[in-house]
Amino acid sequence: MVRFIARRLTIMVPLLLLISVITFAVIQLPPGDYLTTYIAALRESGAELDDAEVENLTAQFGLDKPIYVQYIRWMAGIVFQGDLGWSFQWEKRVNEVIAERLPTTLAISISSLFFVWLLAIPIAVVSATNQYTWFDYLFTLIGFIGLSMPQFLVALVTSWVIYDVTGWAITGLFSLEYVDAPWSWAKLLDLLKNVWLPVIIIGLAGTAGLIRVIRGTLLDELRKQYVVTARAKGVSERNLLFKYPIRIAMNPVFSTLGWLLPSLISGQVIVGIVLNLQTIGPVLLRATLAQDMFLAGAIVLILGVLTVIGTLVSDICLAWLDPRIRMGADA
Amino acid sequence: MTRLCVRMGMVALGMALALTAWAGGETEEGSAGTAAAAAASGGAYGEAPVLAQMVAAGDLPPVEERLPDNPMVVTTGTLVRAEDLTVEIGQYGGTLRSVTANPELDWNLRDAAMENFIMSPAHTVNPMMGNVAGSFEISDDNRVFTFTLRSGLKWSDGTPVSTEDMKFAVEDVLFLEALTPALPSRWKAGGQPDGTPMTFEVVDGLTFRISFDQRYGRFVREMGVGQLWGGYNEILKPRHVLLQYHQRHADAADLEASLKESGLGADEWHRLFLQKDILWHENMRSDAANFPTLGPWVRVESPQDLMVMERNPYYYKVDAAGNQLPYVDRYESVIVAKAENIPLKVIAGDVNLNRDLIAHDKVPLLKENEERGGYRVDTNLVYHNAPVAMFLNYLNPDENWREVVWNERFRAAVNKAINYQNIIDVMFLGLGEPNPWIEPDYDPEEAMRILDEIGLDKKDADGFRLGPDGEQFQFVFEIREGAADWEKMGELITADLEAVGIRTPLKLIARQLWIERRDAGQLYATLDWLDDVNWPILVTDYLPNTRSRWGQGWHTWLGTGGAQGEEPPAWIKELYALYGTFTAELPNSDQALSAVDQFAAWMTTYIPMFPLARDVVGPVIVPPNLGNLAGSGKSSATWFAAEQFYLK
Repeated sequence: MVRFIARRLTIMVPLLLLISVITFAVIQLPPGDYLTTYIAALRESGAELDDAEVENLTAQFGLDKPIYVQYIRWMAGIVFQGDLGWSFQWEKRVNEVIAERLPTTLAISISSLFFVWLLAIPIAVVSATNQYTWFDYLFTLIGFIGLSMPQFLVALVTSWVIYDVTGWAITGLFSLEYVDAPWSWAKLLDLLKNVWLPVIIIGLAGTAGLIRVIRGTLLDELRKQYVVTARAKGVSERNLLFKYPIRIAMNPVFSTLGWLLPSLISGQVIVGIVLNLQTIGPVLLRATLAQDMFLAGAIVLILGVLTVIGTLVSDICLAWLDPRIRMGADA
Repeated sequence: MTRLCVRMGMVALGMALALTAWAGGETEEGSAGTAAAAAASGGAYGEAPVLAQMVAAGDLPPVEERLPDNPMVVTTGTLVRAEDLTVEIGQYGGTLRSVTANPELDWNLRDAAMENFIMSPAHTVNPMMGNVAGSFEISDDNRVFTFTLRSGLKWSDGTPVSTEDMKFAVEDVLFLEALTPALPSRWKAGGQPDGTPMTFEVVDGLTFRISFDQRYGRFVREMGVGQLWGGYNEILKPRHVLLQYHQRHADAADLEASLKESGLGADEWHRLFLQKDILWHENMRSDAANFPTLGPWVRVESPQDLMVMERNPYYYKVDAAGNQLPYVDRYESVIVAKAENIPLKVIAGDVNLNRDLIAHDKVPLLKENEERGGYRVDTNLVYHNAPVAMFLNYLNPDENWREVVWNERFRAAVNKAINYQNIIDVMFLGLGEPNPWIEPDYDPEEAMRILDEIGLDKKDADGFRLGPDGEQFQFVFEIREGAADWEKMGELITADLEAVGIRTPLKLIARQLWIERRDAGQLYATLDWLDDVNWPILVTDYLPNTRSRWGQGWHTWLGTGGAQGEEPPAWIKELYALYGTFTAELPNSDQALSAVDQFAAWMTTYIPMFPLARDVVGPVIVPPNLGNLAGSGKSSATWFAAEQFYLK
């Protein structure tokens, strides 16, 4: 097991380096650079820069250096100083931009994750054990709706309906008077007042998907011969269910942990935008649009790292959960 | 010797009173009366309660010491045209809150917080007045410009402003290649990229002189007349703050430490300096926090999703009653994730002031929710920039194309084929005017008759006209992607042209590809900005080398004395003669004003391009109780004058 983990960690180094190169290359791919978009934005607002001013700005942003120099400097900063670079758009260190948004992002992602698990797992188990009852049909229906409706649409419609009925517009995680305020009980309450809708909407599709997956796997397991045998031997239904079939049905939950980690950070970009959440998703989108390359690069790089780590964690979890995998790995 | 000498202060007050009186029946006796009272009392100035408290607590010197010796008096006709607004004496307090989807830019705040050396009521060229520089003189030959800063003028941190700050900005920044690799054209004779750079001299602690080796009357625009954007920053910088980042002046060890802290290399002090130096278009960004300014509001520290500006206690303008401006305490902007979030933010009551971000199709929704959101949608003001114009590239190497578009009568036919009023109705809910330069006589029958006459009468199987060479003629219309309204306008024009038998393939191409095709001279017809329509001769969008570069070769020919490029036809030489007048003469001189008229006549005669509309209403969001909001004119004009806004 230790060797397994060590080997995986060693492979991670070149993999991450490769991810960083690709990330940087992809961000450079679209024509133009941050300045092009900045100048276009200035132009829309009525102001015009002459060619000389553009040249001066290019030097200020260090964009006059060759791409490989920019890359090497960026990587050196990350490796030796933990400095993720400079965000042109925010005129701040990338570290600060991300750090400011990390708590809210994690809070939303983790609460919707728990929302999904707490809701999906029991429903799926009950659905599978009571197949073709009204309960199963009801949640199958809801599940399909949740799967097929795009989240942003749900977000749009819900926030409009809430505004129309109650006059309360959800336009962010905090009411305006608290955006500027330091953390306090009142601010926390205000956050709780605003956070439930994003959590539910973000969780909706995940819940629906997870219900379908667990229900399906569990149904497969329940029909297997070892279950029938165990039942014939007189094992109680409860024991019968929890001892093996549910553990196997949980496999998908753990094997997707690898994707879960990055989605904690950047998941729900579109919902984040629709509901104007102060999370990392919208920042990533905006950075990409504005070609704010170090910010976009850093976020994508972090996502890459988290995916790699997540995959490792999910492999370890699976090995722990499922003896068949554990045996295979040790052999 | 000098033709023009304006002295602000008492003279300005007198002029302001005269203007107020001139505004006639609309003028309230009260404001003129209080102005006179303030003038009579000899410098008893009013200030905001928040500042008065700080003075009482000993944190701030009294208002008389903070204001310059001759504060600028703002009244009717000072910042906004007298016909658009009769200025009232306001009251202090409140917050204006804008919204932006761009963390690096909110022009509502930016424009309000910016100042120029000299000025005129927004978007006009008359009268020319002092601003940061209280007075100025221009030599008879429009070559030597002498400006005098207001005595006692202070940065927002209380440090006095002097020509030392300018000397630093010019000699240590503008003329230092490390910091300014390329000198912007405006600082060169005639505003030409190849002109001789200006000569800058400091006369005394407050007076400086800029001279050129040729007539350059347009230079006053660069200093702020008839111009809104640009500010003073390029040649006036807070030396006391910036010295520590300048290699020539800073302590080497300190500079090295600052560089390290910013993650920059030892050879990159220029980047550090340029980051620390806040230019006019950066004044509302987070890194502008507490950077000394001369504007009415100063950027302060704020959370990531909010831009916050607070009043500048040292601001140099007062109202006619002697109250220090601005009236409003705070000017904020809420940063949202995407422009699509803006309407809901407005409806939710989080925003009370915004211009140019409200699309026409959102007006009904916003109107409906005015009361709930506590704002008002105002539709009396127009955009400062005109909608786009269709341009033809006269120098596309395609001979067939040239033969067609160089024909004035073809262009007249195209002009008659386009239904401008329809475009205004569809795109702007009818809230705009057709362009006055080109007669709005939509007449497709006449257009077809002209096209038949000029030899485009033969048609292909689909009913489209054949070119002079007998082959299919294509009016290739390439629009750069990105703006949905441009695409829609392109479609409307295409339909009009196809209706008279001109085959018009409409192509949406990526911006970068468009730029490449433009630079290679390969565009045919396209859309681009032509702001001169709304704002004659402020910009040079009408020149063949700007925007879509509709005649780059001509410009090159003139610039190289015929060595390169193509010799322009007589009508283009006419245009350049007008351009010469605009450059050499003062914008409010008789010569320049008559050249503006000649320019309009030139457009009418030759129809070189096709402006789609002008004076389009730009819906704005305002607090229902906003005072000193102009009732007509351009929204940018009244927005730049936000220091006189107040909440009733």
